[in-house]
Amino acid sequence: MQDEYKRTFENIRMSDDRKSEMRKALENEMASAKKPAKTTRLTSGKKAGIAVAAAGVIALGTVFCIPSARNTIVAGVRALFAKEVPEDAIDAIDYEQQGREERVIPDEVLSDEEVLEQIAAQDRAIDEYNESVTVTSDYYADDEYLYELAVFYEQQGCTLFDLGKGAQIDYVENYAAKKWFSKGFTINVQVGDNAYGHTESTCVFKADEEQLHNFLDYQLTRINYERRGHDQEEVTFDELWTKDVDGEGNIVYTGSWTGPDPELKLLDSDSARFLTYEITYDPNTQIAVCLIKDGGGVG
Amino acid sequence: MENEAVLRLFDMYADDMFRLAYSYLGSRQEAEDVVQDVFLKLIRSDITITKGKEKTYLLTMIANACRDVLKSGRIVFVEPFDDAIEAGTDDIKDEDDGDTEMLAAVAELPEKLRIAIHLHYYEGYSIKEIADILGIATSAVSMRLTRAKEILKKYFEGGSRYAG
Repeated sequence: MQDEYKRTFENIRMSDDRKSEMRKALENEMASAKKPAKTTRLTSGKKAGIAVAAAGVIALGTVFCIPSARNTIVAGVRALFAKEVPEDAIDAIDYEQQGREERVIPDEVLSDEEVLEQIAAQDRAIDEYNESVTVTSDYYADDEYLYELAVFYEQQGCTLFDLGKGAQIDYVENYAAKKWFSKGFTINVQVGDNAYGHTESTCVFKADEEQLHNFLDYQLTRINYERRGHDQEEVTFDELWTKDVDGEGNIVYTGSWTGPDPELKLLDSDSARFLTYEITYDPNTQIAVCLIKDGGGVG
Repeated sequence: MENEAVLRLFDMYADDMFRLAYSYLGSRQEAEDVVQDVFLKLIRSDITITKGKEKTYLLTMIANACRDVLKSGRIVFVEPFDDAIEAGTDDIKDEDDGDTEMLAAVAELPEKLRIAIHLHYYEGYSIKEIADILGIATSAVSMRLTRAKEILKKYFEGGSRYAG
């Protein structure tokens, strides 16, 4: 199969004319482009801070200081995770179950119960739980630091979402001069789609109500993208988001989506693809805590 | 990034990047635009690519850019390779029926499976490398390849078209 596919695909390429035209356009761009100079530089103290952050991410267990004002809300969300994390950390915790594709489905004559029991025993044996604490994002009064942090996270392969613009962004260096980060940003962590696997992440950010609406609208787009991919009707903003107020006066938005059952479902535990959100917003401090559960399905 | 380095990368990898973008988007023009956009971003940024990882990095940029295009809803997805299959001699020289059939079968795969197949069988990347490029777990890549092969097997055995 590999040879056949490779031989066939080899012949699909850009036309020489188009490639030549594109190369010329790049050369012209180089001739005219003046790379946007960074307007700010890090002080040595901040550089040290980023170095610590980089080391922390690599070592799984990053700690970033945040203003104490948000700790109350963050602590509530943190309690959802059965894990000790530093009080001053903004965190997201990823769980991944790997290796389940290697399990063997018993084919001898057994009752359904016995089959499931054997599968469960195999899963317990082969599961590798990768657990990590990842800094998501924060709102920093210091734009310079925020920008450098965004660059850092992009280099880690994270996807950044800018609240001020209400849009997902790539290649943060291009946007430095436009002050995309003056209103803060958040990070959507990797989507896990293992069978029965999922990702849980928490994003903490500061936003006024309009910015929060942009965030909700962006997530609506994300869900509708998933729905289209599964031949489901799109939903409106009001159909997705339920708004409530909790006992502490925080506004709580909840929304969720579940895809159809996987067509190659093997076990009951192979759940359908899903996305759920719970966003707690304190209008006084303008701090939003967003819990996202994402994953499931087969493939 | 240094201009000369960008042009060198363009000469070396533009076609590979185009093929991946084409697999995602199903449109030659959109795929070409994405390739150009990626190189413009390289020119305008201070990105430093680790030596030896250039192709992987560029394909990751292409994958991200294509997903953004698809999410934006800016294009209506077209089955990839259709124009190549129909164009015949323009794009597929000296192909036999088997080759065309293979393209048609791969074209019908869902996007996620098609990309995994492309990166594994055409680019020759390992499961771990594909996981890095797509930003997903290795087990998810394995699952996608398994599913894709199951579907292709059914396609060639029974001639049935995947309806998923």
